[in-house]
Amino acid sequence: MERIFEFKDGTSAKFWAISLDGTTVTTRYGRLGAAGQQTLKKESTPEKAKALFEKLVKEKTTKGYAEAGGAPAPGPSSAPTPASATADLVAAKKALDADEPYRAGVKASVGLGKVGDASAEQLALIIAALKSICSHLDEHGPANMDLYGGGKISMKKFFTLLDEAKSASRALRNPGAAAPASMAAAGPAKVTLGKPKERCTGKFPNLAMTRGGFLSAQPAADDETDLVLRDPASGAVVRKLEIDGPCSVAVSPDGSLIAIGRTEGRP
Amino acid sequence: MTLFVQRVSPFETLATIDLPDKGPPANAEGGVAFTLDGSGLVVACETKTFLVPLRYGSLSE
Repeated sequence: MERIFEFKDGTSAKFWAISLDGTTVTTRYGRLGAAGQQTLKKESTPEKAKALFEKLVKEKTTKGYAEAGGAPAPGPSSAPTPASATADLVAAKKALDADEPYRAGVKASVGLGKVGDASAEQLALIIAALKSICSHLDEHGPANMDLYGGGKISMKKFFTLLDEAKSASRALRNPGAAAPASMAAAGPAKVTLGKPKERCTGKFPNLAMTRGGFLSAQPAADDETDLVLRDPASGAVVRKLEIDGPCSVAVSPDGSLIAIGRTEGRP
Repeated sequence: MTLFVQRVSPFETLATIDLPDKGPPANAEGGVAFTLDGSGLVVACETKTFLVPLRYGSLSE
């Protein structure tokens, strides 16, 4: 559908129109009442075409163009219709099956302003996509960023998005769990503790939370310490580091760094 | 082991729960930690580690 914008200022009365069809963005412009001139711009992917569409609309509205007819007609920049949303989720699932997590994440998040607005189904797909991306980045570093948007999203941002998506998913399952920002200063008036869920066994003299889970320094054989990072939801071991001798650990305030103190040598 | 959740100011206990294991050793540096999103507590007891879900609310709830 074509969206038409008008600009009237003194002697100037002109229009600018734009439409999106797959990977092609078509614009028309000219004096009001005239057919105007048309230009076509073809992008390599529908996502890039949509981004260009939205960028051009923003540029025009910033310059003072007003959309003809008041409220914008349903178009590519508005929230997806149920039908198109379903199609995007189907495309996201197919992309995941085809081991294309970046494409899956993009498809699953069409129309989202922020991760917290996603539905449970969208979040499941977004988390699966981000887990795959973060796991790969964790193992291989930033060498293959071209597979994941070519650097449009930084490594750090991928991990942040995964955390946000997981939090949003937990909030959906347990709506009262997250502490509202308004409680930050005074604290909540009431707290309820749920049923304890056993996550692992073993003696853990030292415990700290990190971004990826909970960290325990667990005494092992031969005076060694196993530094184990576990997923809180399942208790599964995410990472394990063997330290020679006892050690102490601390985690940075944002949970992204671990400091390990031991007598001498390297971990 | 009994787990307490305490408010800092005013200093008062908001919730307690008994866990089915003994507490950590006396020299433990930290046997309890909040998850980063605040939705739970991880508690390392003598031989088992638990995740305790945490819900916040107002007195009217």
